[in-house]
Amino acid sequence: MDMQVAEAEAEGQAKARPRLTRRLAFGLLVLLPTLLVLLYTLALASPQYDSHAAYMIRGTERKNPDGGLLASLVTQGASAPAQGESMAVRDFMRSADAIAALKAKGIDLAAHYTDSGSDWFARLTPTQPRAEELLEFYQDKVQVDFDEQSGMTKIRVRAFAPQDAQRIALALIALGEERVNSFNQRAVAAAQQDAQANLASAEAEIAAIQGKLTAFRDLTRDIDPASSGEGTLAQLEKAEAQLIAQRSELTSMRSSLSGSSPLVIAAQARVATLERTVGALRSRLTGGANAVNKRLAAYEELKFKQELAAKRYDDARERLSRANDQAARERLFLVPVVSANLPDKPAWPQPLGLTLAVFLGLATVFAIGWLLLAGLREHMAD
Amino acid sequence: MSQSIASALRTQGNVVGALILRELHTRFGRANIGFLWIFGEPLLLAVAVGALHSAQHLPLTGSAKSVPFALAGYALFIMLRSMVSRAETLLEANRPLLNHRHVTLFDMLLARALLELGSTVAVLALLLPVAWLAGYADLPANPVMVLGATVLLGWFSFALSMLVMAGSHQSPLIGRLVHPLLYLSMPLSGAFFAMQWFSPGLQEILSWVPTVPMFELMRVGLFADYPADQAGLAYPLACTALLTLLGLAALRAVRPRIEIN
Repeated sequence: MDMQVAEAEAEGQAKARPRLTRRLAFGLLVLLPTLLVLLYTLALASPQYDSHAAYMIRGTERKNPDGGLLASLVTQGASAPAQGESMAVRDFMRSADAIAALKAKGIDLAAHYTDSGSDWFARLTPTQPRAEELLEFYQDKVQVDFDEQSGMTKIRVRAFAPQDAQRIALALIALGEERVNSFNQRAVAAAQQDAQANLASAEAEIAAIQGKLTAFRDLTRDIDPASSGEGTLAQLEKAEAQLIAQRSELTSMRSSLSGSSPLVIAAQARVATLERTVGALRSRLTGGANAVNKRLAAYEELKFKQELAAKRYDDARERLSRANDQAARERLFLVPVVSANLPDKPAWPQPLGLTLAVFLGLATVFAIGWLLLAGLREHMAD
Repeated sequence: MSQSIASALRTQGNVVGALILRELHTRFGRANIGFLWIFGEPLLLAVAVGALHSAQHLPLTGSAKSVPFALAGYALFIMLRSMVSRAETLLEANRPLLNHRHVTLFDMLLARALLELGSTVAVLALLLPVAWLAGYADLPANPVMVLGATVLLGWFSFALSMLVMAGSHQSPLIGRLVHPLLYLSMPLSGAFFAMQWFSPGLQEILSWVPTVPMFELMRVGLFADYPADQAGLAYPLACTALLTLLGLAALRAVRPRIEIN
């Protein structure tokens, strides 16, 4: 009987000992850390505030791809206006470039996030963080999400003070707007550069041809060789008609009068004069270097070139105005949808949630460890 | 105490090592290439799948290529499938071993899991460079991440195999259901699709499948510019830990009910 009691007692002790160590281990490995986390979140953790903002990047008109109903069905919702630009601005906002730009605007993120007023776990620990460390911390605190469906970009800025969170969010949106404007300037510049260069060269060409025309007129003392040629031609025709009339008169005179008659001599002299006149007029029109036909040819060539240059000039002007129109149409704007709010309630810490998560995680790990250890015990040599 | 724990650890290590060797012999025998078949089976399947995809161009962004995508996805899925589906027959094959006090169900499952994991890693380590030499792939951008994702999936499969083993001993129905369920899980597992193919709504739903972020993690390691936003670690780790706990508890619950003879 005694032996049985002693055995039962020993068995009870043997059972109680592992149970005791198990409880001790559970308390030490699970409950204690959980308690510490709870204390930290309740008493020590610095509050962190979230400021939310949303914006949209869009142009004055929607791009409608010409693909009919099918294309519009397929691409429906898939491509928001200015999708590429939205993504570019988002990537910019989460880059070291944005940190530098914020610093230029007077917001020193490194100073804010390493401020020793915040608790050690939450703040960025090195007082002089390296650029990469700051960037990593910044990307954790500042989230920029672009929703392809709606085309909206949402910003969430977390900071140790409500005013700072709002200030950073506002500054980020201002930076985004600057980025969009620089896109616009680029687009306008690119569109206009070509057209402007074209226009300038057309203008130069017109001026050159005008100069040549003036020089030509100065040289030939002839404002319009075409009309002056016409004048000469008319004179020639008149002189020729007179010559023919005088000749026929002379012929008829010779048939009735003797060759020495003063009338005949006078008529002969008139014919000779007219012949000289006609010859002179002829040579003015066609013979020699300065003849009207040569001048006319040179003049018409210049005239033709002038017309071409004028046409080119018109084209260039039209293209420039079209480029201006297009740049104006494709102009993008950053439209604020929700402006950055001044947070009131801290978003972090969440004592209950965090404590529960830590407890569940540790308890699971503890249970796994205990079961593995129990399995290991089966391999013990007696 | 600590000494006895160390010696117990050594014993368990020896047991698992011996079980791995035994598994190799019983499954593949010593004939012709013998245990090399453990690599042969996934190798053949992965090569076949990779070859099927070599002509096809999957809609992947950046430097991601079809062949390593299919190959690695398939190799990892085979690992999951073999661990989980063979867990059902484990007891039939190894029941006499339970006569030895030092051999536990956990040891048997662990031996198989390590074998499958090792063969999968070996197959990947062989096939990816070969695909690279053949011009169908680039070398993994981050091999440690690929290995990490493989080990994580291996652990997940091991945890699942413990549950399946215990469950199929409790009810033959579970054992019967494992195979069709595994087959149905194929398209959902994340082994054969990239999350970037789907709309945000569908992504949200699929991201609840714990293996999906693991496969995405593997691809982030595999391809230099694969988007990392769908590859998580916290959620699959939590799921795996929970499954491990449940599996260990289930093994412990089912052990006394197993008749050794």
